[in-house]
Amino acid sequence: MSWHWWHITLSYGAVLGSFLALALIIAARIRAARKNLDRLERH
Amino acid sequence: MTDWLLPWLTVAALVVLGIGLAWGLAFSPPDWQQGETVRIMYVHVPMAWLAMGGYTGLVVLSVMALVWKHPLADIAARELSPIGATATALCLLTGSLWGRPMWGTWWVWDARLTSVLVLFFLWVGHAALTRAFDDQERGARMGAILALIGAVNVPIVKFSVDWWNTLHQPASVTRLAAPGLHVDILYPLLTCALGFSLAFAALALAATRAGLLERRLRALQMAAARKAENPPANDGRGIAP
Repeated sequence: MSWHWWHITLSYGAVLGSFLALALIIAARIRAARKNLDRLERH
Repeated sequence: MTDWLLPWLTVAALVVLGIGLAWGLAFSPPDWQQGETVRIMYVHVPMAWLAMGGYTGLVVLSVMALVWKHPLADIAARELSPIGATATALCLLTGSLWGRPMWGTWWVWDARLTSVLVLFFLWVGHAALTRAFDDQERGARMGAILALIGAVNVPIVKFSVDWWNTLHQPASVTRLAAPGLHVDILYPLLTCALGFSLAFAALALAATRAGLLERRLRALQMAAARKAENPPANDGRGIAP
C-alpha cells in the first residue's frame, strides 16, 4: 500500500471511528439515564 | 418527537453515507493533480462544513437561550459542543493528512488553518464552560455569551481564503456559477456531505435526548435527597388517641 493510501485510510478511519465512538458514548448515556430513572421512579 | 425522528435520521445517514463513501473510495476517479489523495476530500470537506455550519447552529441556540430563555436550547447547545469540537478536530486532522502529500507540510500558519484552529478552541471552550459551574443555568449563560463572541470567527474562516493570501485553496464547491470540481468528484462529495450532515444531526438529537434524561434524573435525585434530609414533621395531629 502506497503512503497516499495510508493517509486516506487514516483519514477515513479517524472520521468513521470518531462518529461511531460518539454514537456509542451517547447510547450508553441514554441507557444509563433510563436505567437510573426507572430505579428512582420505582422507589 | 425524537422517538420517531431519530431512527429515521440514523437509517438515512447510514444509507447515504454508505453510498457516498463507497462512491468516493471505489468508484470516483483519481484527480489529475492530486491523484488518489483527492479521496481525503470526501471526508475533509464535510467535516469543515459541519464545523462551521454546526457553530452557526450553536450561535442560533445561544440566541434562543439568552433572549427567549428556551430551556431546550440550553441543553441542545451544551450537547452540541463536543460533537462540533470532534468535527472540527477531524477537519484539522484530515486536512493535515491531505496537506502532507500535497503541500509537503502537515501544518502552516495561514489564515484558513489558523482560523479553523481558533474555531476548534471555541468549541472546546464552550464545552468546558457549560460544564464548569454547579449552577447549570449560569454555565449555559456563560457558554452562550462565549458562542456569540466567537461568532465573529465564522465569516473569518469562510472568507479567509479571499481576504488573505493563503496556502489553502479558495472555495471550489460553493462557487455555484462555476463549480471548480468535475461532476465525477463533485457528486460523491455532495453525497458524503449530506450523509455526514444527517449523521451529525442524529448525534446532536440523541445527545440532546441524553441531556434531557440526565437533567430529569438529577432533578429527581435532588428531590429525593431533600426529602431524606427533611422528612415531613409529625406533630401528633391526625393520630388517633
